[in-house]
Amino acid sequence: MSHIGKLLPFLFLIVATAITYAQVPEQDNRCLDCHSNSTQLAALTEQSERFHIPSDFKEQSVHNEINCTGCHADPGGYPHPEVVGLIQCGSCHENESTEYLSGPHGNPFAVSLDLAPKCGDCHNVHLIRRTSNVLSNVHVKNEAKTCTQCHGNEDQKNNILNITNRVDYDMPNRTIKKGIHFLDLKISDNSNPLTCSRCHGVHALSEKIGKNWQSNYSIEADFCGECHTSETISFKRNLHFTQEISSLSGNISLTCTDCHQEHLISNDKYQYNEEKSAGQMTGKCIECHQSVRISRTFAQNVRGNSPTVDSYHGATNIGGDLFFSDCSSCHGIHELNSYTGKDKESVKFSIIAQCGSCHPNAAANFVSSPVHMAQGELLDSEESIARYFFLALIVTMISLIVLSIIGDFYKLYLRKKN
Amino acid sequence: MSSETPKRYIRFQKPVVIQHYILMLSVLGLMFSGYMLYSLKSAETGIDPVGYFSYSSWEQIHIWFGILLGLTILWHFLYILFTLYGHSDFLHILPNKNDLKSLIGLGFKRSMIKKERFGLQEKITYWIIGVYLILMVITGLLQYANVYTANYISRTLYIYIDGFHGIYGFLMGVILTVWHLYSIFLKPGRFPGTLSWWDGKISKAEMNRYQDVKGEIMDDSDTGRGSQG
Repeated sequence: MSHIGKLLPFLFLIVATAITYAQVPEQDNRCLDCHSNSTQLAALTEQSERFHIPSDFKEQSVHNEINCTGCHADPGGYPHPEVVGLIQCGSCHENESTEYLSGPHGNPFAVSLDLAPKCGDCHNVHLIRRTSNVLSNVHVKNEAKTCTQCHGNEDQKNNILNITNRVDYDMPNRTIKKGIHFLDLKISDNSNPLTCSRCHGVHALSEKIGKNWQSNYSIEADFCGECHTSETISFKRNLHFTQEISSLSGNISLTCTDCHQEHLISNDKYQYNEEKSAGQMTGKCIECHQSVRISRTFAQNVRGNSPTVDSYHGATNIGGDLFFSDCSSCHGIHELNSYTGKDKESVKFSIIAQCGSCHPNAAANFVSSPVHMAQGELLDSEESIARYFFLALIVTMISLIVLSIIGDFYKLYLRKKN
Repeated sequence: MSSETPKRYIRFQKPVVIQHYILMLSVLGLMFSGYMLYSLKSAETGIDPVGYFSYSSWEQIHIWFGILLGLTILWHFLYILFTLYGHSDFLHILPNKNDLKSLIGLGFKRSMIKKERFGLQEKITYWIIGVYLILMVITGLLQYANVYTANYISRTLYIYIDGFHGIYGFLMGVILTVWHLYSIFLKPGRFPGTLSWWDGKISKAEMNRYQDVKGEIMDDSDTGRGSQG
């Protein structure tokens, strides 16, 4: 091989470097001399990774027309001053900056500046890709991962908890991805999943539900109703929505996420919570309905942990059967068939019809049975009498056995004596 | 010294032994599956039967054992109605004047007991077990057709049906089983028990116990040397 042939790879490298170099402005080349060279950076600073910039970053960055000094103040020669100058994204992205500063991430009154996520934490610092680019941190497919860098991080958990006082802001990425809105292709066609920003907004994080729902819970129902229209219409007529319940944080009514959760919304009819098991619906209802105050308000006595668990319905419910009756089977879900305040006759006919949907031959006498197993004092006394009757029967039987055993041994004694 | 096999005499015919096996199996199966169903409805038992079967599955198991028990009870009725042995057994187990005298004498007068095939205590045990099993089958059927039952009977009665077929029925079943086992194996004079439940045959000693009793069924076909004593 000739000398030229041996030098060909090096010539090719020189030419390629020259072409790459020529694509960036002269001043940027000066910056990249050091900042794209890991070895040199490592010799100069302990934070070499932080200051490293790939030499070709501009090819992929949306900011490829902007020089380094477009964002950074000119640092002059090396060594640079301690503070080169704060990056001011807002000088170009004014609206986004204003929104960000008004939202929980940017509001200095809401968060500690040290902890607050900055633009680069989501968008990346130098390699800022378009949001439509599937490699972008804020592309819909990567959004959950980006948000859960903090919201799913154990180290950040306490920080977030201290600032927000809400545990549900700690949400691992895998949890979000289990939810139907993220996964269901019918909803999201997998290229546009219903991910964080669709509900929470982008920079202000309060355009849609975000924090506003706390002051006006109809915002959340309206938001969900954009897709779930019929459910929302039914729900808005529902006692749960129309009747406010006094709580420590003021008068509130229930809204979608109180039952469905915020992030892990399942497609399974019987899975309303994280755990996939039958009976979660009942479990969800009794979270509130085992409260004595609510029971009294709605003239409904419940016993133990569940109003139905002692019944056949309750037993099949916890017994793992896939076909079972839970609260929603009789009361409905969003429309909520409430019997409170209705006259006895109409309630009776409604209940006969309701029971008849599963028990076609159910008649008036059938539905006169207490629904939640313990509705009043009368039943308790009836049950008590029956209980004492059976206990007396059992005691009698045991006494009879004991007497017969004593008799047997007494006869044995008499036989031996004679 | 004789090396002959000890003589064993047929006490129960093969169909009787087979029905007893089926009865044992169905009662044990019903008690077990019934307790599993109860466990599902009550947290008190500390058992988690859901790990094995769902409520419906336990229910199906319970129903099939119930059918087995129902068939055994039907066999008893047919046995009593259509066989000589059945007639005889049933007539012997019916309460009579001697039982009253025996009850007054608290069963301690040996002469009175010896005249009967079944003693007072045995009669009481069998009658209680019989009535208990029939009631369990009836209440079970009523619970199976619970919609119809609830349509036509009062809630109070349903509570008693539910209670009898529920945990109280289970406890009664356990007590009766213990009583029955005591009568067969542990009772003075019977200890260490008989193997008649296993092959329907009894030993010479056991046979002698019945020899005075009128209408005793024995058959020497087993050894060829057996006799009615």
